Amino acid sequence: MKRKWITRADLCVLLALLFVVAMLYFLLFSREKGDTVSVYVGNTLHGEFSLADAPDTYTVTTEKGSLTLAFALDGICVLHSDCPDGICVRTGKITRKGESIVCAPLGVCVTLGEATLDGVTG
Amino acid sequence: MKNTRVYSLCRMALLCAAAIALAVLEGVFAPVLPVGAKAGLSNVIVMLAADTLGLPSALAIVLFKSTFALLTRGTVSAFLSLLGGVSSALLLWALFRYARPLGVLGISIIGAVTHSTAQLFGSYLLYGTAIFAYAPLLLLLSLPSGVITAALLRALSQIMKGNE
Repeated sequence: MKRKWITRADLCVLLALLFVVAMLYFLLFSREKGDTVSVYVGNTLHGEFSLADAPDTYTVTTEKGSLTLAFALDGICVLHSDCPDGICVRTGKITRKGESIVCAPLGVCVTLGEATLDGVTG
Repeated sequence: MKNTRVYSLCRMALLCAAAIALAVLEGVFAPVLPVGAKAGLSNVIVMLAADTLGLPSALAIVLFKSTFALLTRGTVSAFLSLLGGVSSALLLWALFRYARPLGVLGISIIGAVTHSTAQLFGSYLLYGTAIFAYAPLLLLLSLPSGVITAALLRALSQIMKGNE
């Protein structure tokens, strides 16, 4: 490999990436708090809840296993999932509109706020 | 022996095996990394193939990796692996061939960003726009992933050069 390890163009790439990330973080964290929760299994709406009067926990059962959601007044998290990697559990609590928790192995997607039916495609 | 078909076959088999081994190793580190993030170690093999063996070999390794994902983690993982792998392999090959001003580090970072972006797009097709909440974190993690991959690629090409 004759190519150099690092060049000036690489630094431009690095700076551009940091700029894009900073912009995306700004857009994400300037959002309002979410107040409704939509639960999808695949592209089908499984349930919709208001955080103010949601149950403490809710279990979603799919063909591949079940997933238990825990509601709080300011957000929602996955308490337990039958999936092998547990990424959805490690996501922790989401609180802002547009945030989501995805459990790919079970095909479950939980979104907060307005990012619901309009955003789902086949 | 260097130019025989047997040599090429053995080299491809070794690279495919290394890609799978690195993918498994990634799985070991997954619990200590932030949610949904992967170190992208196996991409180093695709990069190496794109740089030294050409596009068909790089795509063959991507296909092999996706088949492994299909057998071990199911169709969704295989689909995302294929989408991310093919996109990054095509771009890496083009960058190694035509982007003279870029260094290994820059190409590696662009490859990692492409891989993450393509997988986000694939997840968007499956789960809708909500998945883009992961975008800032995944893009930010492309940076250390690109640096690690570039360092590994450098070491690996030295070893391969020594063996030729």
